[in-house]
Amino acid sequence: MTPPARIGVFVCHCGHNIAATVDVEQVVAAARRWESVVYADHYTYMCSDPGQRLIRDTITEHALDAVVVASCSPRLHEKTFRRAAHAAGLNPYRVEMANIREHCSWIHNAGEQATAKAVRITRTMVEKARLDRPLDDLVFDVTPAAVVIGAGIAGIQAALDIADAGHQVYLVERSPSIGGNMARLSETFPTLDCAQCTLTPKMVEAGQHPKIEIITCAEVESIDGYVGNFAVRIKRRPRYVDWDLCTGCGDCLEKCPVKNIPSEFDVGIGTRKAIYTPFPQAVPNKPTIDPETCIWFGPPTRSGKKRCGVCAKICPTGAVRFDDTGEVREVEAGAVVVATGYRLYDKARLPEYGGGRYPDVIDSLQLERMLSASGPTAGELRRPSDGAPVRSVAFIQCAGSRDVNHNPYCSKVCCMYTAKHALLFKHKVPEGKAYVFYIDLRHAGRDYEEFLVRAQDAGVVYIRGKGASVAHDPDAARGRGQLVVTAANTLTQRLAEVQVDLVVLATAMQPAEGVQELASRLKIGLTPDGFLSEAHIKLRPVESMTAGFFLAGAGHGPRDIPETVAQAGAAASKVLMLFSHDQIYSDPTIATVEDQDCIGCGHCLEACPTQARVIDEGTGKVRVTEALCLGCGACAPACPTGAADMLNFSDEQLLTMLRAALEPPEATP
Amino acid sequence: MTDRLYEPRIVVFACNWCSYTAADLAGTTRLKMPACFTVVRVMCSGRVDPLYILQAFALGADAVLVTGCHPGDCHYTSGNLHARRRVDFLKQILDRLGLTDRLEMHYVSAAEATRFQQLLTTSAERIARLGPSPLRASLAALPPHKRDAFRAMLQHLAAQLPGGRTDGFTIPEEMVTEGFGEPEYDRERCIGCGACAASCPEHNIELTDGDGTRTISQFHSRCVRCSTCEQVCPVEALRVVARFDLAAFLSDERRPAVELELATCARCGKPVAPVRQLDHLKQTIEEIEEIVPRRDAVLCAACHRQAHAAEMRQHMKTVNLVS
Repeated sequence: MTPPARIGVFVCHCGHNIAATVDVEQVVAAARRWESVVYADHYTYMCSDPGQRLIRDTITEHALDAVVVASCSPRLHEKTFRRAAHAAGLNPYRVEMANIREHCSWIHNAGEQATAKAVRITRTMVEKARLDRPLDDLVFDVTPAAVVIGAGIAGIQAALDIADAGHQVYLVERSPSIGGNMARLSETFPTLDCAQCTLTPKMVEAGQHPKIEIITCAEVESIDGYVGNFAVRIKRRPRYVDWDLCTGCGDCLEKCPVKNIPSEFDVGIGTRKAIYTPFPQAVPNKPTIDPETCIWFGPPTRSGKKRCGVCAKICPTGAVRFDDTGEVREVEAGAVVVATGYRLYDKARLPEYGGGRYPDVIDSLQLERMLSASGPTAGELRRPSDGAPVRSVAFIQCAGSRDVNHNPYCSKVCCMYTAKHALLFKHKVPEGKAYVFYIDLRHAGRDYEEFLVRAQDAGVVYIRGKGASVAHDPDAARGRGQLVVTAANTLTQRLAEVQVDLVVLATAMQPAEGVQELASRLKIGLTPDGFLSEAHIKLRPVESMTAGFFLAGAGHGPRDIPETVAQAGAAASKVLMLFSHDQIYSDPTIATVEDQDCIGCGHCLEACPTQARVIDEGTGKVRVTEALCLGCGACAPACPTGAADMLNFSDEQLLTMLRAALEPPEATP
Repeated sequence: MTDRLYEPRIVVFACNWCSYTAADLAGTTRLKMPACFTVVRVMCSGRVDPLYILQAFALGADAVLVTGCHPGDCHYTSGNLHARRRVDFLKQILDRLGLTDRLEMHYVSAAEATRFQQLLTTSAERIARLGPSPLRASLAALPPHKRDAFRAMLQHLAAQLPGGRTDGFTIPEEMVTEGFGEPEYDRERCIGCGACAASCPEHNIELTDGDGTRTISQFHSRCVRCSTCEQVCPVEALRVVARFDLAAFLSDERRPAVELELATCARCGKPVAPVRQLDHLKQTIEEIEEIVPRRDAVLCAACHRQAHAAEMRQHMKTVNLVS
């Protein structure tokens, strides 16, 4: 590329802002002496209409091929001058600004030094402009379809919002039904309305929506491509039932002889059969066979015959398919919403609280299933150990949260749901005793503090002290619980000890299982705690650092339902923003690879924050996925050969700019 | 000479999102600073190549400040940390070469205009007291290959700096930045086949046969730690490690890594291949021995062809194909 010979330098007075400190005439005089500067002049306000007209007219008159405006910060007016130049037919990326106001006239005293510095800054930018390449904005087509990963309330809400705007959504869910953790909840704070009442209509709506395709028992295997143009491979596990044929009559569920399998949905509180739907309101309401427990998949009889197969015999439509091998399909999408949700911290990792040791120590989701009117106990609270009615409960908050030995963060929702649990218990067993052990109470939110007061007024005993231990006392007097909870009451400065029938651990919220692997497959970032990380904690809270990926729900960090729904709506609106154009434009000042110098060492791949750089399997050289590159340039210094470079921030430019920046001051003629 | 303090020349690399914005804010708030510095704007401090810093010094900069967002604030998540690593790496080299206390890296958030002002003011004062950089003559032209340019620049600096030492200096492995290292051979396992040399994209590894010995040697300065050699080695005899040895890097001399005994041709006496490679081959083809004519004598390729041709001719004679 031959360096351009025709640069115009426009020095702005900015009223007195520059001209009172810097001798603009001298800057112009210096610029006129530089090679390849064919025009230089100064004007009172370059950003004003006449100033911009001056630039436009000069570009035409002097056939300029690059422009340097020596005025304020490029962060202020770069766009203004690029637009002006563009209007005169000059490539906007050949317009540079020399910041002689913020970085010179405003911070230095008037005089020779300030003028010399303004000359230096202008010269540096002239050197950059000299080597700037004309660039066109990058343009990408957008496929207006979205993949939503995870069909809890976050995924369902995002899917509905996108689909309601008229775009195709593929809602991918790992378990057999959509609904997520919210479907497990009994009633929700702060209104105590039942979770099913609010969630089920949304589940049905998603299930019947013409623009939503629900793919359950499935996981996203890989995603190729970039924003606007993803190819998403979805792998469905075998369900052993053809859902196209199944009418959901439930005859198979009746006849299946394999009973008492601990139900995943009921978190072990209830049971299911080998062929099952996870819960009565499941969407899609079709059964799945669990090959681990189904007799058909067990060893055959001595004569080699398969045992059982009752479900297949009874099925009126012949929908049972023991030979189902699952399916891998590929869909095209322009955006991906990651709504992978949470799981609870394994209570067995809290042995001091008897987690995993005593059956009557349960976690909060297990309690939700017990409290649920449609749950396995039909809403009755009974001790898992012997089925005896529960007359006293201790709730231990921050079980695995706010603890450097487990999870350092606050799980945010436990204070509220514990108050809810205690209140629901008091509703069911008015004469019963409920104790809450807490470190701090965090009830921030509309009607949340009031809710706490409501629980306290109902007679729930709050004890400030982190639960120390839970012990089992089999010889406890009749009518007293067998579990002894001890804590230091930090308000009374005494040891608190209560004997209860049931202990509920408010175990920490953790990212769902497998999110780490998923994130590395999707190439999106995670926080050190394993939650999905956003592009900017304040300004871009629902976008991933990788363009085209959006975040919703508790997979992004502990949060409650209202916040999750709000975030899902925000993610959906970001997706819709993307889909509102057929094409997207992006900044062309991105990274490049000089093929002949690239040796495929891959150092630049590690420096790239967005996985925009990949090693091409065919050539063994690095390729830049333009749509993913953000133009930060971290890749280039990582390159040992000089093959990695940046458009308009090239090695050649920066080395030359340094020469100008360090040029000894010219003798004034 | 006047008794005025020396007026240093300082280059400040600033990232678009934090430190450049802080410098803008310093201007907006009219915070006065010495005029001796020039800001070079990059999108991210991660863009700052150690080569630029060397270039600045070679051109007579008295100090270089690399500024970026605070850890965790980077617009691109981690560019500032890459910058930090690269600056720390280069700083160690410059220290050794005798150019101490002239390279700094600072985190400045977009709101920290006062911090920017203070940094610049204190640095300017400190550098003024330190006096002019001993480097004045710049390097006329840089080699096109970046690694060569980096080495040329270091050599240039080393030659000009009076008190610098290069001997016995290595940078701790965990502080070596991307692209610096060298293959470490397991002398017991290496069979001297030369796959590493043939595959090295930077032509770093060399084989030299002479005097009954094959020597595998490499130039420390040319290894870019791409690990191609490690991947192609058939006997897992080498591992590419992160390493930077200043003297070896600057000298650009071959460093012998392995020496192996060469088998010579039984007929002409020319070197054929390392004894160990032949042993390895023998072992490898043992299973398919029946299809490979066994030859006990070691022959070079040329002699092998001749011998084979002679055998063929003999065979054809026996079956009366030729007279």
